[in-house]
Amino acid sequence: MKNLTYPFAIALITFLFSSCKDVVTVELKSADEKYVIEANLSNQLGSAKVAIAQTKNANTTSGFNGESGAIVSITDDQGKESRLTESTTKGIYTDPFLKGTPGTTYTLKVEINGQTFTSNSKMPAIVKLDAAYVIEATAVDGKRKFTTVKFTDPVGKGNAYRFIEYRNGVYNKVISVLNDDLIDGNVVNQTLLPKELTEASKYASGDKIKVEFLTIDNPIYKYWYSTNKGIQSLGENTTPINPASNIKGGAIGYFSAHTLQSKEFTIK
Amino acid sequence: MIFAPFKLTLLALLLFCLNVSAQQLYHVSGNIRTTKTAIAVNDANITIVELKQSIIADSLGFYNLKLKAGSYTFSISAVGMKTLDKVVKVTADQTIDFNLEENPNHLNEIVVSTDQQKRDVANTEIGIERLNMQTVKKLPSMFGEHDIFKAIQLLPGINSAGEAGNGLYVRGGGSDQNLILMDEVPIYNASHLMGFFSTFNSDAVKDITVYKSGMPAQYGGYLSSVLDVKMNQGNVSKLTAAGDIGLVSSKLTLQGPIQKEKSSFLISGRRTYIDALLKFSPDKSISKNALYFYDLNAKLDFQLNPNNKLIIAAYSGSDKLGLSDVFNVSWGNTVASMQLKHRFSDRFTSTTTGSFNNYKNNIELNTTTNHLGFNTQIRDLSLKQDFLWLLNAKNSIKFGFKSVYHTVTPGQLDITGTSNYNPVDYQQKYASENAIYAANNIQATDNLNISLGLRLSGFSILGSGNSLTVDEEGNITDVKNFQKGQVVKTYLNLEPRLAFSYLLNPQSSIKGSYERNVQNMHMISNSTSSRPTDKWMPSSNMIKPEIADQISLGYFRNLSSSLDLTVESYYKVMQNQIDYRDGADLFNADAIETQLLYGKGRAYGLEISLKKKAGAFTGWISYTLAKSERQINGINDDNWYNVRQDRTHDVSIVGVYDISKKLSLSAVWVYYTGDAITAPTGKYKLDGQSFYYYSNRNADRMPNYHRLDISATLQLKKKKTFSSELNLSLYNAYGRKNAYSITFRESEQDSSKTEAVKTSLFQFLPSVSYCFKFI
Repeated sequence: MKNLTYPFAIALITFLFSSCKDVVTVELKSADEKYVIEANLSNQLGSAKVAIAQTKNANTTSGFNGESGAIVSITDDQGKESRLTESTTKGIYTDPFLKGTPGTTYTLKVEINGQTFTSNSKMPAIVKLDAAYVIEATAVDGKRKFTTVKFTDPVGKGNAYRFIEYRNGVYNKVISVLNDDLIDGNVVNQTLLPKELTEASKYASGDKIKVEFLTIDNPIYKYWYSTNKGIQSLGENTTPINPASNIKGGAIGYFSAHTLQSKEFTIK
Repeated sequence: MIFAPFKLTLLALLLFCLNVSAQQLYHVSGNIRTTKTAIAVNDANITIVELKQSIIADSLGFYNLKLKAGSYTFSISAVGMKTLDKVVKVTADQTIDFNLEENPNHLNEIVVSTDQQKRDVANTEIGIERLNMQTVKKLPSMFGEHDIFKAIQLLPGINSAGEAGNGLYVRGGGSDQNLILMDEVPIYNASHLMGFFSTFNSDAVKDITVYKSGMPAQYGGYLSSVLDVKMNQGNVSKLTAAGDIGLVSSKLTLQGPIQKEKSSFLISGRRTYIDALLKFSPDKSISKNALYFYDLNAKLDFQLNPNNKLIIAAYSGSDKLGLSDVFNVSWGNTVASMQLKHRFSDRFTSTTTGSFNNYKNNIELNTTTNHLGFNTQIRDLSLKQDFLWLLNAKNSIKFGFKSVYHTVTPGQLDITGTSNYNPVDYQQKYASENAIYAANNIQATDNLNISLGLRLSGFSILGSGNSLTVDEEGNITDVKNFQKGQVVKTYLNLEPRLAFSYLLNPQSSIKGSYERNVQNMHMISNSTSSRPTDKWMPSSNMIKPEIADQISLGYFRNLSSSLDLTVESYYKVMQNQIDYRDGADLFNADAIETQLLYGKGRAYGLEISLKKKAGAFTGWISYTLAKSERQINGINDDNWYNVRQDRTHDVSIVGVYDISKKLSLSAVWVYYTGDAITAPTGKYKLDGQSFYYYSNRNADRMPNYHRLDISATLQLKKKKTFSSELNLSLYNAYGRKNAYSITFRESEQDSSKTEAVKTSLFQFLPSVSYCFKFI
């Protein structure tokens, strides 16, 4: 009886609460172009990388169209300036000899076409990444495996983290950040979620998982958190927003000085 | 200065009163009840035809008049009742009771047959809409639920929050700006299941009155509207049972006398059973899922003696959503109230209401790494005292006070097992809200009616706890600590309420009103869907009281004995409107002031409605032309922007046709401008993925919305002791795929294209409900 009624029940629920998705035409307007700056510096050699581009019309190709001719520098709190030069990729500026030191505040300065953009970011202290492992848990679509990161948050509020997951060398494009408002001083086992709970995002045996663990400062936490809000809010009838940038001068994007550690494992 | 006209009126009143008492007058008083159930008829209209004067009976069904000796025609009418005309000879002080018959054919307005034009046209009511449950039950239902909140969305100036939503947006205001009263007790979250159902069980509801403007001075605390929902009262003469079996929920109501003709009880319950279907799942993880809500209403009425009536009412409703043992959310209201109506004299009555309201939300999480619970709560204790002083047939005064003690628990995190998290107990907020008011209705001349009111509201934020000062950037610049009971800050506001009507001729009148409303409990939300995570916050050092000033002007005309035309316009300005900063941390419950911005709002519009109120065919056409905008520094480059529910055009056509005594058909068609949304105006690559850039908030539109609902109600049995009815409805009869939400993404085929993806719900949603009654 139970088995007979169930398909009927499911059909009824599906019918009553089903939604359907269609592509519709909404005429898109175009705003004036804005500079987009993505600047990173970690505690590893050669990590200084600043990408400069402009926003594009929403109906154009989505590749990266870098902007040449910018004067880009990163200065530490002792006044030591490093000039980044444009690499072989247009719009990407690097300094292969620059390496950040935890505890130091760095200033980014970008001058392009008569506009100047500046930003500060403090590289936080390193927090040891203890382990990365897999757990099995129940989700809306049944049981599945999740990557979990273990670390110990230092006592005292103000720490923030970012987790970047790669599956077989491919970044899963999930922006995952955490601050220590609610976890201060604890041993933390942070479970990372896939972008969507689909069959395709389920781990298969033999998958190689790599996790990068970043300590970030609070403005960068806020940047990533609000970026995430922008993405997640889309389906819930909320108003989308531009993320809260830490760059002054009217550019989109961020400057992040962070520490980076990573771990890898294979799904059995 | 604001007091000056008020004082004058009082003086004039007093003089008038003295003058009147010098004549030989007799007291005529009595009760107005229904014939069938002997329940008091609330707010019945009594017109003395010869004098062209009307008064309204109180909520006990009691009326009181002073008349000179003579013969008078009393014409009594009320919502959903047949009008009764009776000739009364006044020779001495006397008591005369009237019994009214129910009339389900009446649509939402009161009709006075002998003096048809008199009431609607001549009273000072402007921006007021009424609907009774009998009308609502004839309209098409959704999921078999005849929801009074969905029905009032068909009236001009009242918008829904998207497809099937129960959030109400009245004249450009927010969904948190409505005072929702369940028998005089305010309710915080008046919806179930993310807003698809209202907390008002149709079997327990009697009627609703919506004040879009011209709010009487006894109501206050919310900016946009007052939704006064009156619940049914038990039958004092017989025990009856009624039920309703629907597709997703069922209802049962029992009522009857406790002591015949003196006291009664009513108990009504509703529960959805979608989750019962889940139990059939062979998959254990699914069969343990929960998805339901329930409502329970109870009411006890005691007529203690001719001068005292005691009413005890209780409501409890809750939603539960659960994913196996992993995740559980539950939320709901619990309300209890006790009301004493006392008659000091034939001219002076008092209503005292004490109530308790607890709105609670609880989230439980049990995963491998986390075991925790998160609670939020609002608890209100309130006392309300209303006096009604009937000076004479031309003059009445209402005055009283209200006092509420709010306790808000913004968040409490309990750790129940292994967890990443520390337990947190965010600071509780305490506030005392008080108001005194006085209002006066005067018939100044044969053609001019005036209603004057004044409300003084005070809101005191109390300790213990910290009070924050936050700068423009959202940084905390000062923290002051307060002890228990210490007053942190008090906001005092004067709220004038004025309305008039001027009779141009017996068929038409013009009416106008001005009022100020102040709101001190604010819902902070970033979505139009009603969610348990919506936060209610009292005013604080940084969150100032919201203030709205509205002027309205209207033209009313009776085109024929059953056809009414109403044209109303309004302009409203709002201060201290609240929104989240861009990128706000929505879960920061401790220092929410650091995440907020404040600004102003304006809304204006024109509402036209044409109503056919009697006959085999009844219904209405309403059209609204409106605009609602906000301006908040820090949002949309400090420019004005549309609110999401800004709808330029909004049309509703409602028709009910009684083919025979057994069969009635109804149809509803709605059309409105698509909601204002924010579409991307550019895109960029960052973090190896594409992001959209947004520059103009709510400058774009969803596709226009339109929908037809039809229904048929068939009487199956009608006997002395048992009757039953079957209602068949089809929601969205032509299957229009209306947008519930619009999202933007890069096309999978061609990443240079940005696609707008429309999500639509409920195409061709049939429902059936069977209701029965044992008398």
